Amino acid sequence: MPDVVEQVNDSMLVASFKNEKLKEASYTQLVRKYQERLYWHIRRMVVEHEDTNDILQNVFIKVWRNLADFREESNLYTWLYRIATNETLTWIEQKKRHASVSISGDENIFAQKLVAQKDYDPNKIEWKLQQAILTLPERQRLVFNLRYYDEMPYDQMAKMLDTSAGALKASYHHAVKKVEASLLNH
Amino acid sequence: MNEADNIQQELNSMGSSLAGLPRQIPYAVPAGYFNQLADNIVAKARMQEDALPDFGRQMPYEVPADYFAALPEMVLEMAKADGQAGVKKPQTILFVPRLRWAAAAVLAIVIGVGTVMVFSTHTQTASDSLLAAVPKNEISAYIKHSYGFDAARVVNSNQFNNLNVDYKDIEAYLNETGWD
Repeated sequence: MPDVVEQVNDSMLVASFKNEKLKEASYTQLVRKYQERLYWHIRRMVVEHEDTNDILQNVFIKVWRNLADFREESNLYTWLYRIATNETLTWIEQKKRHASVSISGDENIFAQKLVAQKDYDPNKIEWKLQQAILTLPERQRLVFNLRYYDEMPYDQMAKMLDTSAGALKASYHHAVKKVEASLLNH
Repeated sequence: MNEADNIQQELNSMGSSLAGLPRQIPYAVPAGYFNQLADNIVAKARMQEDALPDFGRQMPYEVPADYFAALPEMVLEMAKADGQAGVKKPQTILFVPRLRWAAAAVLAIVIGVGTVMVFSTHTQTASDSLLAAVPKNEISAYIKHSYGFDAARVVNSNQFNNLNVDYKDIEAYLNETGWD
């Protein structure tokens, strides 16, 4: 039986959020509906749970503040992913700036975080794949993850990232080749 | 065809080895995390809302009456006046002959020359206390004699750019005493 929360229409969620009496309940439903998708979208980019949790909470706080003004020109799903993506990329930029002035230099901070993960096993293919994906530049990694894991269609991705579907397709194909090459080298 | 099939097909068409790989993410998530997340976020959102009540968007500043009504006309007049003045040639940035600069130049010269003179004979005495004791007319006379210009006249006649002085001395002096 499908999850009841999943059946709730996004437009109704937005409409009920604008009603003060229903605001909290509809927001809770919205969080429950999208929390895992957004969580994994962020986690695949930043690796660590604690960092993911911080970013995800910021994303949902922004949603709380701005959902009443949401005009539904894009669908809610795309809007949420856009907020999550922007928050994540901003966070990564800050981390990189910090890393570039610290002792560790500008090494791949996420590769280090990956090795520190619970049950990390460099011999297992799923970990090797994550390691290979982390060698991609952030935006290409984002495109790869959205396509490979989230199965997002290119046109939807294009709306979310304000770019063309063709450019994203080229980026994804390039990323696939790079990931393959990285897997072969390790 | 659903999107997952699409992606597999896309990878197959690329001849990619990723097509055959499991797509599971190996990362661990704390137990019960997703069960509590929504409630935690709602509580946090409410708390932040309470901590920062809506003060509205009204600015407390006052604007003179009819300021905005008169502004376009005023700006237009200014633009016209500017146009009538003709196209201005790019100005060469010259040393601005301001009284303060001139005074600083004079002082820098006096201090420089005076210090050399004083230290050549009075090595144990502070130069500034000695300089303070020198009457102003004597300083002026000295400058006139040594450098061939009258400090007061130079200041009044905007001839400062013609002076053969070391601006580093002036700059150092102004850095110490302030530029206003």
